[in-house]
Amino acid sequence: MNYEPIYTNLRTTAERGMVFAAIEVLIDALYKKGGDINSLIETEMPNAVVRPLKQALTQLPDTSPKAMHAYLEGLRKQLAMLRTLSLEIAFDPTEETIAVLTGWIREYLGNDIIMDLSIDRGLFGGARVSYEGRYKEINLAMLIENTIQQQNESIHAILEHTSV
Amino acid sequence: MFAILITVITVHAWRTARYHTQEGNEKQKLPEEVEARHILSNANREAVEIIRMATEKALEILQSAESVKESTTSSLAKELTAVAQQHKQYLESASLKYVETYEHMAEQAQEEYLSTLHEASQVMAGDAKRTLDMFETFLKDQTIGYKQQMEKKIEDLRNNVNEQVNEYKKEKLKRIDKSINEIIISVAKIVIGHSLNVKEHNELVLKALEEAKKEGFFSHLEL
Repeated sequence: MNYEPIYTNLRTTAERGMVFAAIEVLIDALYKKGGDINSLIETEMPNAVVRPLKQALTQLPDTSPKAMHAYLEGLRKQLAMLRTLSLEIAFDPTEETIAVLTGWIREYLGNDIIMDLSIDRGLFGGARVSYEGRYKEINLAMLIENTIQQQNESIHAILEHTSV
Repeated sequence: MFAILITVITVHAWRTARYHTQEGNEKQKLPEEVEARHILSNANREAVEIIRMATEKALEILQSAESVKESTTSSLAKELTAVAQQHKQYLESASLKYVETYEHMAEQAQEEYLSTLHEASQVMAGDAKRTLDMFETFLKDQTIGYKQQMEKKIEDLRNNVNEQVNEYKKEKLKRIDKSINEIIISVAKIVIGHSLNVKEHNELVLKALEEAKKEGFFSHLEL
């Protein structure tokens, strides 16, 4: 089964966690009388996943609880296999931030990658990037330090001039 | 002398008695007692005569001896007086000479002592002056040497202190520079970090991703 339309819309590990929890709820609801799956999807799933998931379920050849259960299990396994790019940033990410970063990742790295976002305000700006044991840090503090080191002589000249 | 006279008398009496004994033996016809008396009487008479003569002789001798004695005593006294006088004069003369000699020698000794003392004092004064001059020269040399040494030490100390001060200044300036840099960086981070809006933050994160991509960080992921 093709899960790509769904995981392509997943952007962060936090959203994936929400999806895992929602899948549990949905599977439970499949075997209960009067369980409204569509309604649970809307309330439990992240917004970005609601529409593609509903569409995928309606397009299933067999819409029995067992078939839907199998699809959801498959989705869970597929989501567990997504690759994770860790990003430490200096601020609380907004929806715009997540959208911009996801756009860049989909464009340059692929659809099966989600972000694990965390916050380190000591960075002041920029990001600390790590993926499968590789590590790269480019943050505002380093940029400022490098700039000041490059301008060290002129800064000293200014200091000496002002101290005299 | 008197003993000699007695001896002569005794010998004469013994010879006379012996003669009469021999004569009696020849005249054995005379009664012994008369003859003995006669002999004794003769002997006594002769002895008295001899004693008288001896006494006279002895008196003469004694008188002569007395005379000689007086003469000798007188002469001896005169001689002794003369000798004593001579000795007295000699002693007086010798004493005077001795006193004169002693005084002369004392004067000479005093003069020599004074002369020696004068010379010694002059020598000592000369020595003292030379020693003083040498000491003065030595003291001057030492003072100059000590002054030069002190000047060199002070110069070395000054150079050393200047060097230490310069090193200290350099070290302090380095620390100040480092502190200023840290302050500037810290202030810049805070000011710039706080002044960034979300869009600028996003751009910085994208810049970080772009930099990582340029360095091949995602080479195995890239499409």
